[in-house]
Amino acid sequence: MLAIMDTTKVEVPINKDLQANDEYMRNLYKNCDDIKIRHFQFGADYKQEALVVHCDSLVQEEKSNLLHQVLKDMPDFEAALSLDISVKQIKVFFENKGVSSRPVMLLKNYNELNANIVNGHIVLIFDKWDLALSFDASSVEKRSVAEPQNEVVVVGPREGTIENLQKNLGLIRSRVKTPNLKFIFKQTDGKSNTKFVYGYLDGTVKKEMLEVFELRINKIKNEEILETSYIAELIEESSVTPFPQYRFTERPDVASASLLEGKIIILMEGTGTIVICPGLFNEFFQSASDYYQRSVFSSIIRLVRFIGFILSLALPSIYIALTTFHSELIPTVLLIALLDTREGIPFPAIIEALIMLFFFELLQEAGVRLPKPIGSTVSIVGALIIGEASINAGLASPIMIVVIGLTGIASFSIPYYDFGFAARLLRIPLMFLAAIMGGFGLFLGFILIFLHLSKLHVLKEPYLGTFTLNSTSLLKDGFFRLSLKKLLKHRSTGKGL
Amino acid sequence: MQKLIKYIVASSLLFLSGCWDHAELTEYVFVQSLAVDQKKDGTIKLTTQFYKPAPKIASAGGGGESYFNLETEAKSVFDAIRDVTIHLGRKANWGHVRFIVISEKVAKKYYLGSVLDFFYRDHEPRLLTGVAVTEGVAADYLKEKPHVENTVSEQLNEVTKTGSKFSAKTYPANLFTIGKQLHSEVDTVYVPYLRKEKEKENSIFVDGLSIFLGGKLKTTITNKETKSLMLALNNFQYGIIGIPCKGSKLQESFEITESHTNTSFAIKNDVIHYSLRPKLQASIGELECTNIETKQQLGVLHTKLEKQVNSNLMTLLKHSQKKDIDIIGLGNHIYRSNPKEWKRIKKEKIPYYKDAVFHVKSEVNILNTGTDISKPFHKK
Repeated sequence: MLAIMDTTKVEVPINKDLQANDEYMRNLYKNCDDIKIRHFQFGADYKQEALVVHCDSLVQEEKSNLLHQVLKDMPDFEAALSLDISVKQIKVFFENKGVSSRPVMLLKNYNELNANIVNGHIVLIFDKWDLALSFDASSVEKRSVAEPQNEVVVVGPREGTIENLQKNLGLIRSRVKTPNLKFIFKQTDGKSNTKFVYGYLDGTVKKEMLEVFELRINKIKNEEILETSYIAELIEESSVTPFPQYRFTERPDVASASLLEGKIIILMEGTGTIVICPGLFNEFFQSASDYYQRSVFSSIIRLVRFIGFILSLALPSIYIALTTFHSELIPTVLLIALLDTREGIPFPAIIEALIMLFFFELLQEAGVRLPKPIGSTVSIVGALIIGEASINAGLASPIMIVVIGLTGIASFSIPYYDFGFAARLLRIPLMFLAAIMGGFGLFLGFILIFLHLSKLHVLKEPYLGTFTLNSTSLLKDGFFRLSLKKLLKHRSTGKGL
Repeated sequence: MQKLIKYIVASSLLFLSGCWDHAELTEYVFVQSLAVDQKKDGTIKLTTQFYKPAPKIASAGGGGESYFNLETEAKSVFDAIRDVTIHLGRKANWGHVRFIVISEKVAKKYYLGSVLDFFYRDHEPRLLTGVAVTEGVAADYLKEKPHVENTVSEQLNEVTKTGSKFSAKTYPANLFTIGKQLHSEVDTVYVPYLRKEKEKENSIFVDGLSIFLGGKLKTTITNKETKSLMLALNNFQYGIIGIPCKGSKLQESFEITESHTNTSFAIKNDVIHYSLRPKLQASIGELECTNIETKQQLGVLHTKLEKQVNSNLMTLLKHSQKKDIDIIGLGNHIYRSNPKEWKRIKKEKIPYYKDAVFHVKSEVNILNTGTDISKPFHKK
């Protein structure tokens, strides 16, 4: 009778009859073998009855054993008072004895009951009482803080975020110790019931930016969110642009630094990825290690990254444009070398480039998907055997292998992997433009990309904001990384970078 | 709707420039050099050297010559050039022509500007293409094998360029310098003169300069004379100047490491006075018969070298005066500083060059004696 009621909408109070509750629970959690429903007798002569429901996969075995112990101890405690144990007494008992460090909650209806069970609480339903008792015993096995795999630095902290929200928040809080650091908890209503947090530094963050951000984040209600990147995509400005508008990091130090720069960060339970919003164009060329190394070196490395991005974007198209339209621009000796390698290749330059690019993308994808020990084999087979063989087979010219190889390597020089996607994606249309119109087409493509970039805004911030004429930040922390003496002074004056 | 129109307008940009000049590298055949000859019946024989790509793929074999020559005949150079297309399945690309050789016969008979007209008019050839005159049939020079470079065209280009830079024995003529000189008041044109030994293979060498006047080959001068000419033209970069030893065939050699020639010009009593003052920095390259243990001895060597430079220059100038060839472009100096006078000279056909008086006064500074100072190495 109870079981058929839709408990998700109507708030049905808990039945006083333990037997009915038992039936309801067993019905609801049918085929959920990890939900344990157990009967307990306690009190004098073990006449009192109670039902313990918990999710086995969320609650560590030790703690439920502890619970057993407590329940078994109860008769001694209760005997002194009276035979009739009230729920309130039990609640006090639990709080005093401190079985769980977290407070015990009183549950009134089945909605609360179920929410508590799936969130890793142990729920106690007592006979003849329309209230249930719940205490948090959630303890899913999580890995401990480890060095982040993707953002490796030579000098600097080696802590990376883990899949535990509290620990991640702690890692950030321990770096930014000010009451101005705000963390606002949010929870979605969907089946996943995701808990996520956004944080910002009050006073540093731009007000209008925060307003827009909150407007968007408050719209997230019923979505099933499993990763912070879901949130990033839900609140992003434009889904069509190949350029990422948010940065992802696994480093608490990077997240802290971005908070200090006036950014908003998003964290989530169950994932270690922190979203930093907004991510502007030149920030994707900055790596954490830039700030841990000396400024001269960092500045040069940044320049290398910018060049890498341009190469990764345009090298194949420059090659196509030069060889098919502007052969007179190539120095004669180089042209002779090119002629030797191009002779006997059955494809036009564009087709040859597309084939080799496809090979490269294929190898890259295969290398990512395969388990690590085999992954390295793929790169050896791919780079050495396929590359060499396709030259010998007359499918591709050696110069094309150099061009495509350089293009691929160049895209890896960008610290943020997803920013490299932009170059990988825009490469192809640029190649077609170069094949149709040569240098003119190439520049047409560049102009279109530049138009798009200058139109793009992220949370009311222009994407190319740091490239504006009146902004000196590009010289300070854009193309170059100025010495920290000047950089930090600038930041402490509150002007922001 | 408005957006759609915008897109249509924007996409029409795509048709502004098209694929009309799109061509893969493999669709072209690149011209490396040209030889202009004349047949007995008066038609122009054009020998074109193309680069023959040698695929460096193991399975394709590779090897072989990296060029091939094609001969075409027609009444004009341009016509002969067009005939190239009927022999090859590929479009000829003139964007990388390295060298043009003209046979002495053609150079003597045809106006140089008209022979080269195509290369000035067409958009593909570069103005920095080298030009030389050959003794005998020009086509034979393209048939030689290169020593180091890929093609003989490349070698010829390098020979004239670096030869003039480091030995001053020739002039780095190219279409640009020729064009400039042809359009001067006195159209003296300097073009390297190539020779090769008849029975020997790979024996091309630059043997001085050929001097054009009025667009036609007038005379050729030797390597030694060329050095002096380069000094007179202030075009001497590096080179060797020797002083013969008294009573032996040996000579002292000096390397000129820096050179600058000041010239001045004046007309006094209807006589043109032209003075040249070469200022040279030299270092001793070889010492065969002089000791320079004292300052005086070094001073003597200084004056000796200065005298040698002076006499070399004077010989060249006297020689050219005898032939009445304005080898140093004196007329241009007159035109520049005194156009009226030049007009008169031209009108009245005054032999200004023959009557000109030259004053040569060189100044040499020996900077370096090498590691073994003071005396010839073989003298104990």
